[in-house]
Amino acid sequence: MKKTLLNEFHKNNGAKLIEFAGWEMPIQYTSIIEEHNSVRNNVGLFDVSHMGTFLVNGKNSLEFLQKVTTSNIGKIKKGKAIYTQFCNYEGGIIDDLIIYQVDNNDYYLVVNASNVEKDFNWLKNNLIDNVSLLNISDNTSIFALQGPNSFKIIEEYTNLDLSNIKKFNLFVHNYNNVDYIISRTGYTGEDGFEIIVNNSIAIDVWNKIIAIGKKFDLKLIGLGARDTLRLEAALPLYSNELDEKTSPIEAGLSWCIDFSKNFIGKDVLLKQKENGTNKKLIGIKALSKVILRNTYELFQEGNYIGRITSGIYSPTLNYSIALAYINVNNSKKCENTYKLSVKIRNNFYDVEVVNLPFYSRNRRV
Amino acid sequence: MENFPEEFLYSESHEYVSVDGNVATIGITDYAAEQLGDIVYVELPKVGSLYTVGDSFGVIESVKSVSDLYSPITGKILEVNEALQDHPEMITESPYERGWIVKIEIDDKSELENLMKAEDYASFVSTLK
Repeated sequence: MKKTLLNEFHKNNGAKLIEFAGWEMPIQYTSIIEEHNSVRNNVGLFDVSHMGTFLVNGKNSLEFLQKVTTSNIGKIKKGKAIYTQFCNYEGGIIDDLIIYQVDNNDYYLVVNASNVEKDFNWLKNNLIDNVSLLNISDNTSIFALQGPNSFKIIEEYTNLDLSNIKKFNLFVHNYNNVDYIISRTGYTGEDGFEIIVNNSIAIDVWNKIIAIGKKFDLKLIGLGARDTLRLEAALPLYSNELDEKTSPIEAGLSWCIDFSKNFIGKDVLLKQKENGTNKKLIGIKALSKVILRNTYELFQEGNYIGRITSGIYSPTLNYSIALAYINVNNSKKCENTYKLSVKIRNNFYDVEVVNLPFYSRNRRV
Repeated sequence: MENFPEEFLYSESHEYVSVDGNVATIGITDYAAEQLGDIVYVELPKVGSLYTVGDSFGVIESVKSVSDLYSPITGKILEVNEALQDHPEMITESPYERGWIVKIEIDDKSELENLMKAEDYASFVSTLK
């Protein structure tokens, strides 16, 4: 099993470790619910160094990224990040990722741990002239500092006024003469930052943030709370909501797609946009105390209609929520107010289809 | 630090049995509760239903997992701890008192001999670490 640089640190700080995508990672340090609430109400720090990092540069970088992603990468500038997907020729999602533009013709791509090798091969096979593609995953650590107090910690840590660093903005910071990225992005539905840093300085950066975080009561957060946080924010997880048989349109990611440019998978996606799709991602909530889980089947008036892809007990909402795919003849006809039932251990329970996201910090009660 | 009351009996699936005459009170040990993490849901059996040793009589769900509850003895459900419906976290907070799960009318007392004493359960748990 692969280990991040902080493996010993996690063990010494009470983490329960599990195997995830070939890595030994902390699932929790104290309690998933406590860690979840720390991020929603205060601030938490995650080691997500299992994720993959690619470097793309050269004068045709933009042309290359336009070809392999659904979004218009030309719309971002130096100092901006964008969420997007790689699709195959059938419009299926190879991976979802964030692209960080650090300079003209200089991009960092952060991809899912489970897809690093697949993504790299796909990109290599679609490479064009005058583009350099480098897998720097083994030399790179990634930390996420998330929660309403993360901004204050990063300001104190950098000793900079960051009021111009908005959501999906990034800047290059320097520690001991090594440049690294700090970006205002995350996977929790909360304000926060992600730090993409060379392993040579990673432990120092981590320790410095922990030291400053002490006065803000910063907590360490494992992958367990990462999952409950992202699901409340309805952020998809690769291999749950996303896979090579699912298109961004089916996954509710149409907003990412720019049909004014050419890219791999465009033809199929354009047809789906015009004709509708047979499957659609929906959000549901349990109407009783049962917990919705991945793979549970959904029924409408006794007929099988789909399946849950991610389900949790929501610590913020105090009921169970889930993402699910349902079969629809035409997704345009699908309304958001109908009731379905879920089969749990041979019993049926009512669930309600709800608007996504389940939680947003802007419309918090 | 784990605590396994001397007067209770224990199963390998981490249920404890507290015997009072013909009635067994069943719950899960503090070790099991600690392993599960935050407990968010308990599915309880119906009063009057019959279970034999090893049957699943309910389900306990933490944030990250779904686990069956196995009956350590044969018998009829006399009572279930309804308070767990609204407060499943009581299983973690007070596993041996407020967090009990069911009371069963013991069908055959000789089955109790197959369960572990506190000391044996403690050494069993130490092999799992």
